[in-house]
Amino acid sequence: MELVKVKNLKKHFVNNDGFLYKIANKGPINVKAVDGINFEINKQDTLAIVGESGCGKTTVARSVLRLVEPTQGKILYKGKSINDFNKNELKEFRSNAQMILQDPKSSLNPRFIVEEIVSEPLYIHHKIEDDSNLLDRVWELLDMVGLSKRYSELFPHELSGGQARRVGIARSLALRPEFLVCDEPTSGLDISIMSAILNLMKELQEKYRLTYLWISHNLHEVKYISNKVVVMYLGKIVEMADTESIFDNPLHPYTEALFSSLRGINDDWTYKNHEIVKGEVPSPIDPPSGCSFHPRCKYSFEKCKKIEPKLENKKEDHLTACHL
Amino acid sequence: MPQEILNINNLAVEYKNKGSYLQVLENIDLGISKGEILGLVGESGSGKSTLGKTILRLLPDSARIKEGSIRFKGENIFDLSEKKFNKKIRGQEIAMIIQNPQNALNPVFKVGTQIFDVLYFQSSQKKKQKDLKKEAVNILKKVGISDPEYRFDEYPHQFSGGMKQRVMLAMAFISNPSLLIADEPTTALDLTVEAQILNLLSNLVEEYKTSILYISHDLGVVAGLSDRIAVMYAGQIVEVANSQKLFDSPNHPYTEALLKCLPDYQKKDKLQTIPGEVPDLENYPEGCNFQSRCKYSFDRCQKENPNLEKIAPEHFSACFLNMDKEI
Repeated sequence: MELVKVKNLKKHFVNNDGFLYKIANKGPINVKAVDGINFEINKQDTLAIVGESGCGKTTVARSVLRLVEPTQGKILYKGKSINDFNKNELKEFRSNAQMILQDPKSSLNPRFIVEEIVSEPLYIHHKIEDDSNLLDRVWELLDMVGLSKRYSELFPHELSGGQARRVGIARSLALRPEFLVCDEPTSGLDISIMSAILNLMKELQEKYRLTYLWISHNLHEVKYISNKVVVMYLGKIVEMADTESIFDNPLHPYTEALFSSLRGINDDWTYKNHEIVKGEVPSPIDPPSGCSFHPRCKYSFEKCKKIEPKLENKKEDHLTACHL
Repeated sequence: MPQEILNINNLAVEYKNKGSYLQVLENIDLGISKGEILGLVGESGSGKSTLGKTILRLLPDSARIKEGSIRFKGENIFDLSEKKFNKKIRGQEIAMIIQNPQNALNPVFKVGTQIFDVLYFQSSQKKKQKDLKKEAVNILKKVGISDPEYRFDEYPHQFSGGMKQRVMLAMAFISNPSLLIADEPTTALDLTVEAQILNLLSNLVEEYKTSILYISHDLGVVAGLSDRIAVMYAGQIVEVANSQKLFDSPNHPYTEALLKCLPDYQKKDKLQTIPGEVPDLENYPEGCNFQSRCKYSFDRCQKENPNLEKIAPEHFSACFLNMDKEI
């Protein structure tokens, strides 16, 4: 059963103010951050969105939580459109869907102790009947993420990167959500701490039946944690499939290029004899005609320059947008 | 035996802290041969950047060299005066590229001008401005920047992160250095751009026969780039080996644990972790620094700190387990 369904989501950021633009009379600039994407997340699944910076993956995450209003399209949560929620429904949605933010340190208030950080969502959503139970609940939450009671009295600057990350997770879990958006939860962490966080996330998912939307550019991590992978390029989905199928047999040239740097460290593979994609991600203000990947694609031919490929089912549940 | 261009011998570095000194690097022995890429890996706080800075004598005033020497082409760099070091070695013989190219370029000067400056100060005979500009454009072309004549007159903010790092590489290679210290040059870059930069770096190394000390925390990157790898833990080098050998048969318990943490080593089962945390600089444990987190540790580990010893041809490790094996 699907928990979240994204239908033809578009988010265009328009920039038409600014004094110089008015003088030059150039007309508004339209940045197509997300341009017509569809996907769904089943209950207790982990869907990973991968892509390079500027491909729109964070905008998707923010739209799914209604932190930005989409230009077009719908996001259904349990079959209901979240953009039509009224105040009460929205408040309930906010407690069911939580986010783990990217930077563990800067997402914690430096003037709050851990206890206040973790209990703040409980206050906002009036989930506390009795103040005396509060500390017990905080301890319980800290215990869930593997921190001992003494951490409840510390300030964020006294925590290491991994501990701060755990506090962030505890805060997200405070309202017993069903759906978590994890925006690069392991970026900036050391390898051994990263693996501990991945273990924790997996354990929590099983225990509390959580559904994850996982955003990352670390492919090793994605391979480990997700069931389904969406590859984005310039605001569009270029490939979508089950994790195993996409890692074993990437169909889109961009996915192939992205995954080619992911050889096992036991191979003879080196960067020297490695064939790489040319160029860099073009600006979403002025995307190339036809297939947006064609200027960098080694297989591109005439058709790619003119006609934009549609996301089609090439194999069983393996969708890709390529003319090949 | 290839010629060793850099030799670090028994190096120890301390930082001043509240009146006392904290040992940041301890007992470092390392050599880099000509044309070799040596990967230096370790978790944050293990002292890998400090080692890179020590080689270029860029440590802050609060740091001091407790003991040991760094010999570059046979000469101890600590014996040179600052002026001489600056003129002869820093930026000439040993160059460095840093983590964040954003901070390394001056935002108010044109990119071309900044390359031009490097050329101007480093060329021994004074050339005409016109020739130098031509040379700068050629260099930009060489590192793969398209339309270099036009790009020459642009400012750093008009360059993308990958292009800035290319410019940094160009500047570093102008003086044809014997050694390049690369301190995590690709952490801020996207995957495809990272592969491009590392490919460029490999090609430049082959062309110029430059040795590289590549500092990184990403084992995957280091595996695909370097000939040899040194693993650092809490200010010490715990294992040095040929990169293939290190991944196939890690010897030190820390290396072994670190490799097991990588998600690509195993699928779907629970990932292994290293219990505990990297010890605090202020209270290193007695004996071996890794002892408190090591699953093999025994009595001796708690009393003495092991030295880096040869355990196989071109394979060094600092662990008491090996010494027992020999006996």
